[in-house]
Amino acid sequence: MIGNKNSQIRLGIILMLLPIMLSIFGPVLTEYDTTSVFPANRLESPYSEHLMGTDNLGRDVFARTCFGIRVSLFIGAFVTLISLFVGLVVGTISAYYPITEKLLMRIIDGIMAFPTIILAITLAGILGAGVINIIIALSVSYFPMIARITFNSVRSVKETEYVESTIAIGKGDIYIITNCILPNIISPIIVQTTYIFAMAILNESILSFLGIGIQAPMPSLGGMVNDGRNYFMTAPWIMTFPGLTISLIVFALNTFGDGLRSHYDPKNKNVNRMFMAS
Amino acid sequence: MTMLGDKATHDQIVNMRQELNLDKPVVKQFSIWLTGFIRLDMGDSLLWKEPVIEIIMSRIEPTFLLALLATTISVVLGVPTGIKAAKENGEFFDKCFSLGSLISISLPAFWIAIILIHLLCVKINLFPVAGYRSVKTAGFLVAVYDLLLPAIVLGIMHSGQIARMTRTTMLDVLQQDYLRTARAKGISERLVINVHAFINALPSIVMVVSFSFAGLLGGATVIEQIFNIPGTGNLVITAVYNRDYPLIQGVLLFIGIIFVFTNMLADIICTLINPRTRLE
Repeated sequence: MIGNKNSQIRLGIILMLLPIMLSIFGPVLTEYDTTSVFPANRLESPYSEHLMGTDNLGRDVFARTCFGIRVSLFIGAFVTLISLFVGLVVGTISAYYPITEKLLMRIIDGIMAFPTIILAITLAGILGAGVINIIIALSVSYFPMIARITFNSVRSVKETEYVESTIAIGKGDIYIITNCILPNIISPIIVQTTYIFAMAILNESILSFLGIGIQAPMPSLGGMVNDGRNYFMTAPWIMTFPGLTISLIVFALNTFGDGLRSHYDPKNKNVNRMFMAS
Repeated sequence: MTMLGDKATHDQIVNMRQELNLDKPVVKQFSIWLTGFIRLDMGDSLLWKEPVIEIIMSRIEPTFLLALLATTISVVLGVPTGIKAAKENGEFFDKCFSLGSLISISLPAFWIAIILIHLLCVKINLFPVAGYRSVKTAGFLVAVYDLLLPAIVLGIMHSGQIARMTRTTMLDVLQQDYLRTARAKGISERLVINVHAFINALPSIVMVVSFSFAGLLGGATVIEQIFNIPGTGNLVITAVYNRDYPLIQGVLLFIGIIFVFTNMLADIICTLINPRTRLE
């Protein structure tokens, strides 16, 4: 869309490099700690010795943003991997063994009957805050999307002749699934995972913003926006930088996903219903 | 245990368990809940000690109104721009459109909402900062005015998706043979795009609009929380904060039903628009 597909993929990667670099090298670039409180230095502006200023407790916003990116990317990556894995397994099994379809796909339908963010909020609230619980809550909300796409693709590929002939030469189910079916269905799923990555980061920030995600004093981008909301008039930098960072990461991932989609699916045949995080 | 605190006596715990039917086997508990649900009795909220169903009913109005407003805004913004972008595929407008729609779906709504509150409500006093006056007490227009800023934020967020969907479907439809025929008949280009092509793209657009509408009806949780609108999304958060399990169950079930029902309605509308999808 913006330029051709390759430039889109490239733009996505370049934009993604900045937050990744910051999350890796952030602690080297600043001498400040993420959690040490310096009341004397509170609400200092970005033009001082603090690159992005300090927050209401005198903590360095830059250091906290870098760490927040690390947390967000970590959670996003894990949610994506878990949903990809569980979704692939559940989708393939229910399509390949029709007996299991009734049970598995009804569970998937049940989960998909709720808006993802509501489900994530409820699960995170019930499980309690913490990184692992957020990962569980978000993975449960997102794996059905992968499972559904996998289910539909596997079911159509299963009927093709090359699968039939592989069955005829006596190969086992696992060989057929990993060698004949998965390579043929993986591209739309890869595209979907980039969107899930983006949405997981967005929803993690929403959970942390609401206070049921990452708990203070551990920095998180959403939590920092919440910290800074009462100081927006006097110290806009507290919430501006984390918010911008979330936008940048999500934008980069979406651009990358769009590029991948036009690469794999130039005619946009698979327009998946994107699940909005509202 | 958590509800009574750690100082509770044994008797109190036993009484509480009896009251909540927790002393019965799980299957029995489920059947009590299910028969209760059929009679629309989902138990009492632990927090407010009121029937869950009444609490939910009192929260529907703002959420419904907000969803309606936000969807209207997103459709008015999204559909025409999507059509224009499809018409000028690959040109300057299309590129700006792609960038804009991508930004609109990438921005965190809560962040934009807070910035807009500070700029538009606190600084220049254009909108009320937060809160909601119901239609009954303050009249329809006041209620709409209270919900306007959250609706704008949500509308812009959702318009990106709707616009992208409109553009993709329109691009697809514009390549069809019947449009060439329509043009060959000498129908003006405007009529071709706005009538012939648009009607064929309508089912997909209805689907994505209904999907965003259903999501909003389920509750725009964060936005409702920020603007302090007493809707179902806010109710979910309050219930979760207070670990009010009967209320969480009730609201989730309600949201699920609304979500499924809205999507079903959209399917029906689609079959009305597009005779090809009708079942024999």
